[in-house]
Amino acid sequence: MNKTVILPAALISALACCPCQSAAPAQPAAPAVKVNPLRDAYYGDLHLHTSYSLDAYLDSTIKVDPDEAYRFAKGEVVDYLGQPVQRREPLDFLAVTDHSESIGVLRALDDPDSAVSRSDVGGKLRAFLAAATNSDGRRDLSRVSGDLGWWAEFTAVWRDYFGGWSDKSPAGFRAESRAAWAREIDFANRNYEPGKFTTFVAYEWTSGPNGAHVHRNVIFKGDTAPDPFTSLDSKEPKALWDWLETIRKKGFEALAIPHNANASNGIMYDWIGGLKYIDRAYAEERQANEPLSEISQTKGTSEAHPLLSPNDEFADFEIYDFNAIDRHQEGRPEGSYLRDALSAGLVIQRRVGANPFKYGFVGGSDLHGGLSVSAQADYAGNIFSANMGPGKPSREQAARGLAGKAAELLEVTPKTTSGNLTGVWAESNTRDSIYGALRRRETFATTGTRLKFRFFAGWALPRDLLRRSDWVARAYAAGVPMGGDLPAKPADANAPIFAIWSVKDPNGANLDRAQVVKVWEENGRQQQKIYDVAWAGARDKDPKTGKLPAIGNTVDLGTGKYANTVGATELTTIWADPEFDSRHFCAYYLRILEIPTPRWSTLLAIKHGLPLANGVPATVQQRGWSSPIWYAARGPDAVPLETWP
Amino acid sequence: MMDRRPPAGGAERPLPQRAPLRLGPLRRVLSEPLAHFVLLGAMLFALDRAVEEHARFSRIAITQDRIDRIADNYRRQFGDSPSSPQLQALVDKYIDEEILYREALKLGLDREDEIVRRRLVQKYEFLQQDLSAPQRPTDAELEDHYREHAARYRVPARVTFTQTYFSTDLRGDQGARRAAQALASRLNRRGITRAVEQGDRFPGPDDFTALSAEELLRVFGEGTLTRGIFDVQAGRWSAPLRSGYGWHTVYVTAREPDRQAAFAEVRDQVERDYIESMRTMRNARALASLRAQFTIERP
Repeated sequence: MNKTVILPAALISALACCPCQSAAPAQPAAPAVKVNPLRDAYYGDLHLHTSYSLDAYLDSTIKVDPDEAYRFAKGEVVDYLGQPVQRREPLDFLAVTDHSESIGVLRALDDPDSAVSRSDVGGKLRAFLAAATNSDGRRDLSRVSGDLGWWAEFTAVWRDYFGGWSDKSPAGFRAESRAAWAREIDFANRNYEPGKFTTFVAYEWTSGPNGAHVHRNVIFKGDTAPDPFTSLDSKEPKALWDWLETIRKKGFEALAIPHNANASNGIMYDWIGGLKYIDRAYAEERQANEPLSEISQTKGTSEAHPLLSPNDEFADFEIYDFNAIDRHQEGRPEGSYLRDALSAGLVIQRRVGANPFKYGFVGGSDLHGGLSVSAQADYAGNIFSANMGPGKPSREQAARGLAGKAAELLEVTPKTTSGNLTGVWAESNTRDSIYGALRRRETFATTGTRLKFRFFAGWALPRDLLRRSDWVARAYAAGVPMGGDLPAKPADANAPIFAIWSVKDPNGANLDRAQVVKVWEENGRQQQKIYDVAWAGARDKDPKTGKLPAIGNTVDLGTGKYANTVGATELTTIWADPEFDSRHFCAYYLRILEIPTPRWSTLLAIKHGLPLANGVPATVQQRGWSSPIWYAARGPDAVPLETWP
Repeated sequence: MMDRRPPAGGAERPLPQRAPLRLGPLRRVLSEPLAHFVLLGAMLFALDRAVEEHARFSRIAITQDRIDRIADNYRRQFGDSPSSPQLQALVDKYIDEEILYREALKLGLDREDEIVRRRLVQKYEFLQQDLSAPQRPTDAELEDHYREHAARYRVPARVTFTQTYFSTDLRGDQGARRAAQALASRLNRRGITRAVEQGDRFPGPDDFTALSAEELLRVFGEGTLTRGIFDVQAGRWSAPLRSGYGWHTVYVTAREPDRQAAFAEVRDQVERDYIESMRTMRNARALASLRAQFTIERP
């Protein structure tokens, strides 16, 4: 492992405070890092690829490296396809998570004299990539889509150096990978500005047995990291957790975040097929090493599926349940969605005494062009991984993509969506503070807006709590925040009480409603129910169905404009579970919906005067999800299940 | 997968023409018995050398010293001693590496391989950095750097204010605007400078100190408040300003134009930039001084 020798800023300031410096004249302090013990919301992306990822290099026109990725995310202007681009609004934090398999190797193809270029496979790849690139330097795979030899070569490279099906990387490639990893660490450290912009040393472990994703991002807490454990080392998630435990003993704290469960064909949160191996030790190891799961990103949401939640009229949202390789085949929804996993975890908890699926929620972009964009207007269908400025699709490309080739690899597909965001409630914008929020699951996800919400639960939160100016301090004192565990129920309490506060993105749409999603287990069976707890406007629930009518849609499909004339700026309430039964293990999470706004595919169609996209809605209700709060039955109520249901 | 090799046995390419062997006088010498003897001896000697060389090449001696060094390396890296199977695996790995290393040398990779060359270059760069890392720049050096790159160290314009908020949820858009207008007039008449409790509760802080335009955009969103607050007259309640949340009247107490940052404010940033620029410069200098020792022949 190459040691990074660029001194991280934190170390430099630590040096400045060491006693040997005390003789130096006192320096006026640099602006102090802002600390709020009651925590602020910070927004970032924990999932982004650059040209250091093998697939990104092959697919993409763009040569953005991790350094440029960080600089763009923090609001700097970067060069992009020859033109300057700047993010609409800076992010507060970013983890570049390049695929660890053959990380950074193919970039060496840019140099015709490099050993990679001069190797057999490199020579072939250079020729193939040249055939798939337009004269203006942009990748255009439509040039080779009829060339079976091209695709055979592409697939072979994928298999041998990336997919983990075999490892044929020559020793030289591995050396290139190690050097690239040292640079990744260096880029992350160099772009870390405590109090302003936080970076994390991170990578993606890319295990995809039979094309079904069980990928995990690995996020390190500190400024050093060992060489990555890759899917070429093992494709088994448990082997990754074992490795995380091993390196933790050596002082490297890290956690794994599974993602794209929706594309896992049911194996991400599988338990029916996995009953043989799920025991208490398995559940505890999984929980200890992956406290979070990605609930949404460009390749779809993993919250809920209409087939698993037929009573949830909002479950059919950005569903992208294709097997990641064979996009014509739909996956198995059971085991692929988090709401299902949360209740399965409770059943398992009653059976084995621990919950393997005790997941907090994060959102990510998973974009492969190095630039993390999260606004619908800034996403452009990800054509050859490009989205911004000069990377946006031409009218012809947009027409081809929007016309409905949803199953086509690497083209604009109207089924994907813009980058999603992770929100954290943290004391300050520093690695320690944000990593701490990730560890205690005080996180939320949004579909890309800066929607903000707090969610507390306790047994005795006062009814008038939200009217107090110091309500947040009181809520922390008397309850637990999102991601937490309710303490044991006092004898005189009836049901958990929730404090819910949500406010719109100041640059975004008004709020439609706040919902509490409750999952629980009952006699070993999974249960779910959705409660509308606060909503905008004068609407009454249908007495028969209990459903709240939909909010008005102000979107003009001719111009792509909407108006905040419906919906609310803020939605707040105190809510107690009306059907609480202390014998059931439960989990509750908050879902906030915005009013309908135009989907990116609609904005793209309007911009080019094209028909609206096929197979996707013209408008969407963007949303946010809080990490759950868990309740565990205790004492006589916690009778274990004797057998698996 | 398609087989991309050319068909076997293809004889399109003509074989190079060989010149006939011309031995001339050498033929006579070679026919002498003494010469046969000498030649045979020389061949045996050469064979012996080759066998010996091959034996040396293919013999890898693992000494106790080597094993100790491997174990010691592991201890330094991970803090505890390797277990016996771990040590065995490490020794095996060393043997593999040694074999690959020798094979690579045999192929001459050390002389021309790009990766090896780059590894060495990188190793050298890291060594350079290691050697110089403990040197911390003096303030004088940093101040020079700060002056030379003054344009990079500017503080954006900032505004300090208190605001009273009127919720469109509670009052409607026009109702909130009118309420802000009415309150502003009243407060200006009475000379009151803070009146948070006379509006609705804002979903954020009420008072702001030294906010930049970028921070304003993040807190209040686009709107007349973010765009107009730098033009509001200080010491007076403003006309209604719209944020992404609702209507406000603001009372600006201080405004700082954009200015050059004082050295002390940006010292950490200057230090980071300085170390980075020194690193780049040192590497360039080291390379230049090395280059001076070589004669570089170009085609």
